[in-house]
Amino acid sequence: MTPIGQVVRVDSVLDWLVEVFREGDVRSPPGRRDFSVGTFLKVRAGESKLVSVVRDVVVHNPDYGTLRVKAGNREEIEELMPDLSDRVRTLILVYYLGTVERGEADYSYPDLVPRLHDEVVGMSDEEVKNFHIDEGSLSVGYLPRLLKLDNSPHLFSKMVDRIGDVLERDVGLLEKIRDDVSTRSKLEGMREGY
Amino acid sequence: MLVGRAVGPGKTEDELVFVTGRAGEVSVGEFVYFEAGDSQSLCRVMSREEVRVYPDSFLDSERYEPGRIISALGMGSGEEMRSYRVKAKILGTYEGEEGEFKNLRLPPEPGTPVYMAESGYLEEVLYPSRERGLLEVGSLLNRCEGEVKVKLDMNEVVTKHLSILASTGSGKSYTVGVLLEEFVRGDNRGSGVVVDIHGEYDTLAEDREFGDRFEIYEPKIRVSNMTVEDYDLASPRRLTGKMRNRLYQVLNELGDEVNYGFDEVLAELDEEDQTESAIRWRINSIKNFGVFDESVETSLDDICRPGEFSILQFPQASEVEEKIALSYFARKILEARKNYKRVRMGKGLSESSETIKFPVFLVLEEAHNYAPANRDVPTRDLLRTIAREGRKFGVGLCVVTQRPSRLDEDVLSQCNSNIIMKIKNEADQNSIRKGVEAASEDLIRDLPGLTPGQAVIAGECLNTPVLVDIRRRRTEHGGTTPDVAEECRSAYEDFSEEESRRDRDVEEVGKDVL
Repeated sequence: MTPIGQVVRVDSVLDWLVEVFREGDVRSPPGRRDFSVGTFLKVRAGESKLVSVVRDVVVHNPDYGTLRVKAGNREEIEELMPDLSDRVRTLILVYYLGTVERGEADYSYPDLVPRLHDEVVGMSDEEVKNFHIDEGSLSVGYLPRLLKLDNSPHLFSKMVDRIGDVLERDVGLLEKIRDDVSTRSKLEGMREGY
Repeated sequence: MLVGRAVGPGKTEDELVFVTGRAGEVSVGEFVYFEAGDSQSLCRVMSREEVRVYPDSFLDSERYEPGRIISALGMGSGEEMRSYRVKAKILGTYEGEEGEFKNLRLPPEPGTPVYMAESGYLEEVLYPSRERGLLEVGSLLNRCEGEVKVKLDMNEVVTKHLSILASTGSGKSYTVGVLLEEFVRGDNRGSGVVVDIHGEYDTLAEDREFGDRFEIYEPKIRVSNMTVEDYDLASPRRLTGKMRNRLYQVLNELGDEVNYGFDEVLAELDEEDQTESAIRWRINSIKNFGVFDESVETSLDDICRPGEFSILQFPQASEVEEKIALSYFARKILEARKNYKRVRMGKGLSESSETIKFPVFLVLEEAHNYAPANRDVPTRDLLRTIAREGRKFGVGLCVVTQRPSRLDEDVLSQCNSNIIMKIKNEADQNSIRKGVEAASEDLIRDLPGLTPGQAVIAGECLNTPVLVDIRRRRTEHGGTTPDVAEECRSAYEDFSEEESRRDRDVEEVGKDVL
């Protein structure tokens, strides 16, 4: 599967930062669609795979970053720190969803965290499908925890699109859950005065 | 089977609060227990409320059951969402030798396991463990049909009286039928009299198995056997003291004659005398009643036979005549039982005094007509007397009514066993609250939700109140509701046919004339 990037920061067991591979890092760097919001990713952790989802994307431009201000103008930076001068970096923020161990998905709180520089790769349709099936039925058991981390319905809506592509028979149920999440979020927003 | 764990003692000493996820098993009226020392403390479930419930939005989908959504969210099968906080009444530990429950006042510690009571144990503790003298009226409603049989203690039913309270169509007369079958079956062979106002119990006498234990009578009262009391009960207005004295004299004078009628009594009374004229008016107003006869009387020996029940029917009689017959025979039965007790105590009796050697159970349909609340009718005093004194002499009373609020409070409160079926009317529920000692608030709450054939049975006849599914009758039920549409259609067809025939006859006659 497409290598996406490497783990560069672990804020918590549930919340990590991944730097996307650029030209030269790997033979075939990912395109923008490979790490769009709602994309499922995996990272190996021993025998297990930690599954996460892209929740946000940050593009870091050194021309407008703190480095530039501290180091001086572009020419000076190119001269002093040639490896940093062209680093327009793309960072993706991911949420942990679950662990796959011996083919079984487990949505509970994780025992493991990824290590820095662990490679993060995309997931095939089959892997996404298997991650969302428990005893033959659709399962998005990570959702209650995910909603606590991010109450916005947009992320889950994107995820539903992706899951629906590989689990067509459960599209109706997914939409029912998505609509419920969406309505709940809107109502809560209204209660709080937007 | 473990069904939950105690939250701790309830607000009162006899309340247990526990939490269960077994919504299907722990229903209101069910029995559970917890270990109290070396014994099991039995409790009856009174109410339950949800602790966790499905979000409303999971319930509005036509396509997906809430459990399926819950399951997709990784929250189990949905069972986990059905968690209930249950309140139960602690009945206590069963003291087999004494045949009753004792609340040890050992409230359960929080977390104490609560178990479902075993069916065998329930049968052991609900009623006395003996073969004879039990009336099997049905089985526990919360268990499978026939799993836990409910048998009433016949001794308690007869000696401490029974009320059957239910709105129309809830199965009153069906239940009476079941009870009568039980009274006469096998070793019980009870005796009694049913006042069958609506002619609903013919089927018992016609039944192949039970028919020989039921006899139908159209009761007759011989005028010459009537006492001043009987005249007083029969008259549209009560007799004054003066009238009673004068009538007493007249009846004494006629005493030697056999089979005299009302005319002979009237002949003794002077029209000109004010008192006697008033008596004459009273006698004239009842003299044509079919229940009276100059020569025939339905004897006590006929209507009170060992091992049998008599069914008194009044196909031609008015309500007044029914009341007269009831009071006449009920009073005679009570007297005969009193006489028997006197004989047993070695006291002498006059030759003419009748005795009945066995207890008699008197079943009275539409009892609110004979012992109405807030209305003075002669039968009410008699029924009050039977309700109050019957226990000592072995005369049991079974009052059956659809309007408990219209039944005399004294009579109702003396019925220490109660079969209560569906009752929605608030006034009737209130009168049950007031008049039925065994009816706790949780039982009354159940009454509107009962369906025909389901009953709350409470009181002395059982060790604890229970919800019961009345068993099927072995005899045919005679009190079915008429099929109005079918009867109307049939009547209309007969009527149309008759009209057509009449038209044809007229035509024929016309032809002949022409």
